[in-house]
Amino acid sequence: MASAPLTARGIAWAAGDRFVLLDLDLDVHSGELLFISGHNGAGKTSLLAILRGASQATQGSVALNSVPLSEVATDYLAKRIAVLQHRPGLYFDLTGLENLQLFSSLIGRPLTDTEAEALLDRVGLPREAHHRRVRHYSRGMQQRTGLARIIASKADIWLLDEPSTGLDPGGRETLSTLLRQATDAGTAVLAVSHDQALIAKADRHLHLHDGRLHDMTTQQEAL
Amino acid sequence: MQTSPTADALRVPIRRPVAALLLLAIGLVTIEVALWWIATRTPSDIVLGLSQKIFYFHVGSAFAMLLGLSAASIMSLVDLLRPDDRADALARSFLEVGVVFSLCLLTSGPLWARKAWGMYWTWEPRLTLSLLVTLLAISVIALRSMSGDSHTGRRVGAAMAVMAAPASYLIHVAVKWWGGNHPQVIQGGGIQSADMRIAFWLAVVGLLTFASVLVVTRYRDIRLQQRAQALRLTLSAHQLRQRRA
Amino acid sequence: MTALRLTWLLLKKDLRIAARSREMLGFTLLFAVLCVLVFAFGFLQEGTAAEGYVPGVLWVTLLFSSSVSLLRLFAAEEEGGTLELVSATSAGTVPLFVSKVLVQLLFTGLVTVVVLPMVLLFFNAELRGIGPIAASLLLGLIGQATVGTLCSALLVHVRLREVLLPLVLYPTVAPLLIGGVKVTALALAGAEGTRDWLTLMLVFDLLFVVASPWLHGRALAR
Repeated sequence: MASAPLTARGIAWAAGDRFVLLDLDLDVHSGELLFISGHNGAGKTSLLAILRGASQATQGSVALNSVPLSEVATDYLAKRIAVLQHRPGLYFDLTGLENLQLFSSLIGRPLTDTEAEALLDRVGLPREAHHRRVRHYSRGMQQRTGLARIIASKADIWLLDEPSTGLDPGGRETLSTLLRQATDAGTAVLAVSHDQALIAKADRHLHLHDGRLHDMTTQQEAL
Repeated sequence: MQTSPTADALRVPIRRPVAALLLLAIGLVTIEVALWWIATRTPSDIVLGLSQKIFYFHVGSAFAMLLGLSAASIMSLVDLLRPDDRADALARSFLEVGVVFSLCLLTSGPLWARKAWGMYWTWEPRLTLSLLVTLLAISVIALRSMSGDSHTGRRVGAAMAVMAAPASYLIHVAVKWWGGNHPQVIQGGGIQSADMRIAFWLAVVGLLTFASVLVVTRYRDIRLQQRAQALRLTLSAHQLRQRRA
Repeated sequence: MTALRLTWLLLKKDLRIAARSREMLGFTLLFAVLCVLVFAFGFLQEGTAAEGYVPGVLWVTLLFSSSVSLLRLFAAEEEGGTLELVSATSAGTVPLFVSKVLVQLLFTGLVTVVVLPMVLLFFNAELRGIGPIAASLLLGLIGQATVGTLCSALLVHVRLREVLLPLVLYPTVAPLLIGGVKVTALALAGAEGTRDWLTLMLVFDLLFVVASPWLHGRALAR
């Protein structure tokens, strides 16, 4: 059994006077590719926010290596947990390369020019785009650059919200290769997605329904 | 295991508002006596005539506003340092009641000024300060009511209430130097007779008691809203669990 | 990594973005110029503007144009969703706060350089007492930038913040406005008595330079 660096116990989260998440337990294991699906409004994005400590759960607690998130320093958290949200987490008026170097320097893991270039190559960003402003990128190119930022962070837990947004078939292929490479290196990857092709490659697939997670992995194998 | 905010709010007691009713009785009696005293026992001003008598309730409102807004800033600081639903509810109650009395102040002030200085508004330091601070306080209240029970809105509102405290002091200094002609009743020997002094303190005590009635009532109101919210959440949890079964 | 180096990293990023979207600075300057013009229309009597309006027009223009740039201070962070990333450094939210104050100072400083000669020119005033005026401008801009950045940062996620920002900012910086106008008026008239006002402004700045980053960090804590 792989270790579980991120654990959530008895999570409840309310929007207004209605519980969206309730009695939710989750272990995120090292080296595991975990996908979570669910209807719109099921609470997937809120769950990710709670898991990275950006929002406070109404009840329950999240722990990073058995330490409650509320007791973990934010900068340590930023080194351990990398997040890709709907907005890609990039400055639109900086180039892809500059973004990558800025964010890796901020968490104290600076990149050289060559390292940064190599990373952008790895996520399949065309060479000519490296020195162009992110504002002029397509949505898919932004997503690839955001993914490069995640890899550059060298975090051992990745939380990704709809990572295949805007990606072309080639991009989705690259994405699933990169995710697999990460888990092979021991990273825990949790992605929220509706992308059936991507989910098919998961180690575990959980479906968020009625505020709880339901394991769909076995059913999928049966199919 | 951390205690959940819901469980805490569920324990908000529903009691008869004995304290509030008692304070209300004291406050009403004191204010009535003060009114009677002001009407019958205090002298009319030689120059200002009857209008001088605004002074008693005017100063009382000023005290209530000052205490209310200061207490709001302090409770906001407490809530920022150690988040607590009760501190937040108190901060909001104090802030709102402070604004009520600052509006009393801003109404009675110009009425007095019209008689005393011949115009409704002068850029007199304390008047200017009160107006600025009231605007700040109303903005914070607006911010809070707009953001509902959101975590961010609460912390942002608290930070602004804390920021307002030192700012108010500096505004006070600035507008004082800026020039003004407010009667220096409190510092100087403005109150001549014992009757006036009694009227003054009756009005102050009456208004402060009444202000505390408002604070206590509003606090209870907010706490009960928190409890109602917790009950709605409990119901929602119950329904969700039943749907699963 | 030290807080200083983190601040420099963030500041460098902001300067780079500002240089690439020069329109923002241009629009702010245009707004300031327009502000002075509007005041001139408002106060012009019989074809000549009176010198006595200089302090007021100068300081109110600076305050108004500072709120224009304040509303855009965190625009780049919001657009790309990077606020969370730049808030979580080893020195907490302080580098972010300080870098934003410096950017805002740069903007308002440039506006001042343009607006000051313009106001003097339009209102037929002669520049006297440059020392106290420069000191008051420095203190005023630092205080406005600090409190302004705090308000702007606090209101990032708040609805209707375009309206709320001035509502909270203007009363709070009233001492700076009053002090700045007084010092400018006294200095232009060649009169004494600017020292007390400058001290008041200095006290304001010291207080908020310490309190603002703390309040910012505290309010945005998890």
